Amino acid sequence: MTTAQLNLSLNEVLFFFTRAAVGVGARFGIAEEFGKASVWIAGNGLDPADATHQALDTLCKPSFKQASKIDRSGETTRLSADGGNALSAIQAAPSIADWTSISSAQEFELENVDCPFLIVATMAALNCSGWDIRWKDAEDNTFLCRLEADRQWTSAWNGSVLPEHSRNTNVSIAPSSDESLTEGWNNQRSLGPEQRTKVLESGAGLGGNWPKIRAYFDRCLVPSTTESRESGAGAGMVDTD
Amino acid sequence: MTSNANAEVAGMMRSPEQVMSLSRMGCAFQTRLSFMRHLIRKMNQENWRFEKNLFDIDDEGYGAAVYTAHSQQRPYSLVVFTNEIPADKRSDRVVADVWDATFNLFDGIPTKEDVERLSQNTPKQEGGRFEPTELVLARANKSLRLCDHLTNCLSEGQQPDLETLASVGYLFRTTAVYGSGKFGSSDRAKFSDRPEVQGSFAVEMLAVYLFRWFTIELVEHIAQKRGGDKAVALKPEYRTFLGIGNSTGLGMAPFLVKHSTLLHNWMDVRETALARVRVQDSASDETRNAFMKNLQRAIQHAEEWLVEDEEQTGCIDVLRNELKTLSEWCEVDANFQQNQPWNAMYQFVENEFSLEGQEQTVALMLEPHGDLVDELADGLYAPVGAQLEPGMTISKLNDKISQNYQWALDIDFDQPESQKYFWYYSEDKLEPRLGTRNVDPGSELEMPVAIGREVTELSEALKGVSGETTVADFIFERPEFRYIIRRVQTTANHQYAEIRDNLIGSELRPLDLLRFKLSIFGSSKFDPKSDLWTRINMYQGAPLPGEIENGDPEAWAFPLIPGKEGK
Repeated sequence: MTTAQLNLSLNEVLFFFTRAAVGVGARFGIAEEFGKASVWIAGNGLDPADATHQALDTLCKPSFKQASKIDRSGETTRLSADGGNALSAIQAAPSIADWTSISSAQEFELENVDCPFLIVATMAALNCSGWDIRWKDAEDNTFLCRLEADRQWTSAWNGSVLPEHSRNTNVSIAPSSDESLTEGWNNQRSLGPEQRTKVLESGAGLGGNWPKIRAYFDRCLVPSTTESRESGAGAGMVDTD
Repeated sequence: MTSNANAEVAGMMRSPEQVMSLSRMGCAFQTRLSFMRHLIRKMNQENWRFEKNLFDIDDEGYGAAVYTAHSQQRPYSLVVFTNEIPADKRSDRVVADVWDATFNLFDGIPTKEDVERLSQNTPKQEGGRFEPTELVLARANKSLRLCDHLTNCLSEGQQPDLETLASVGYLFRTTAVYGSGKFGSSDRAKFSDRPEVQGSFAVEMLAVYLFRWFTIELVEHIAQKRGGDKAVALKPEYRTFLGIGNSTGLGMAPFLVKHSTLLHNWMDVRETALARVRVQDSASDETRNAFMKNLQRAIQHAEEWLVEDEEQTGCIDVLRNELKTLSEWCEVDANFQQNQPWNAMYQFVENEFSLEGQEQTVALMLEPHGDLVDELADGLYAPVGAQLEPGMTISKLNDKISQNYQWALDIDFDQPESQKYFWYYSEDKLEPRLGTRNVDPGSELEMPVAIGREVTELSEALKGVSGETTVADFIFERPEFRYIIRRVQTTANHQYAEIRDNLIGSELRPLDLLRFKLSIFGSSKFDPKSDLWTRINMYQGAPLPGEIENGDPEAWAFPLIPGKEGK
């Protein structure tokens, strides 16, 4: 885990991360969900810049296309990106959350997701519960995140890579099973609303990837000119009363 | 209230078509449900205590101070720093970088180390970093004219000239009051379950209240240092008459658009209160007399409301005449002896008065009915924001658009004047600005404020889509509509959530949005300086610490120049 360079409030996380997504071309509604997911990550004491910066990078790539492909021909709904590109979690996750909120009797396979943990975060931020999100990366590290009731969630993984650092792999989403998250797993982490209370008292710590988020955010800002400085807002430049 | 009574109140509430127009919002007045009024009432009812914990201010008025308010539950402290700044750097714009005073509201009582830490950050404002112990960050500039006048007079043993005092009405004006986690300070969620500060902007209002107290003591201190034994304190009625000014700019406008459920709650509280008054079968002599007393104060208050803006001056002139007409109406006993006399009054003013006159009457009608309406002020916040309903069908969504957005569908957005403006954040300290499309750069980065246009585009995109398609499936294919669909769905459940006017058209006056929000805060003496900003006065006439526990906490509703009450 990187050492925190800056503490942000959760509202700042929402503000900067939402507009960072806009800065890389996400439409505002999608960017808002990314912002909420980032707040959820931060509220669990994790570094949202660390967990999501590469998902923002995906939207910047020249090969990135907005549309995802969907295949509903079988029992499982499958999503993938065009031309073998990584599937953007920023784009796909809100729709997964939408569909899972309509029906709990479905399963999803997402192909080559750039940031699997962002799927978890978005679903959690949009109040999904009773779902298992699992994946295995290229080094055969396995991960399972379970969204539970009352805003609790548990993650389990094997290997040294944390779930929030895992990248570019297929993700399966299904209603929560009876599978134990303690047996057969080397690492577990169970978090809930009490973590957010701590973060509200301390601030959310962001490490070395914060400058990248900030750079993406700055793309939303309009350069100031002499004219816009003088006429674009109210109040005089010099005032005495 | 019984369900029948609720139904009667609901039936009497003004429609969103009527109240969510910019023209009416731009004529709003403070009411007894406004945030400042609610806070003063709470302080009085709960016997809040106040103390000065630090006053390390030099003879010229520069240094640091800590003023603490003790609620029933916990203390909150103003930590303020004052410093000398060059006259040509004194600006109220967001882009300013020095100020006469900078301050925080601290969660509790700060230690020496906290004050030292804040002394290194608070004067830098946006350039500093703060911690969750800081609930508010703000800054203010002096009225040079009034500060100099007061310190000169008081140091010579004289009271200030009343006309000069009244012409400004404040010693300092705030130019930004930040809360909600800005620059590392506390998220609202940290204290949102505390009953003493649960309401919208409660901590911001408390910070400004304490700062007002400080500004008065500051000038008295400077005068005393200058004049020694000769110096006098300000007369109590002059102290009370001083409020805190504010230069309100564009930032408030996108806030109202963004926080649609909050806007609904604010408006719903006021409209419910009005409806509760209107359904009363009769008016007691007590409420009638209380109404008349406030009306006379409002008439005098309007006489004292002097601004430079010609349009506003014209509106105030009309208002003055209308309030006198209302007074004549009230003299007729039969008007108060009919069934539902308050409703009769409302219908009279709705038919005869300007929007300013109507909205001032609304505020007046609430004044003598605290027993009926004060409890509603507890609903002035929104715990939950806009929510998407992914399972809704397109057919239902189209119904919602037709029911609530006909005003948008009636606008021709192909006409250039319908999209004249765009709202954006400048790289210059993130200042919100208004640009002219095709003239100023940056329209491709505009904020999502053009709700009417977006609904129109959505409506067009839904043509040909099967009515049975779910919202979830539609926005998977068309993610650009996620934001506006969520908004349409939210508005359907919150009738006052949407401003029913084009916020990017040539007719836009951002001032209307600012005035509405400021009226909810409890501000008075709106003094527009352009379409983009206004000066106002906060807490003018409000009881100061030491005065709150005695007397009527509502008596300051229409602050009057001292000595001119009843004239």
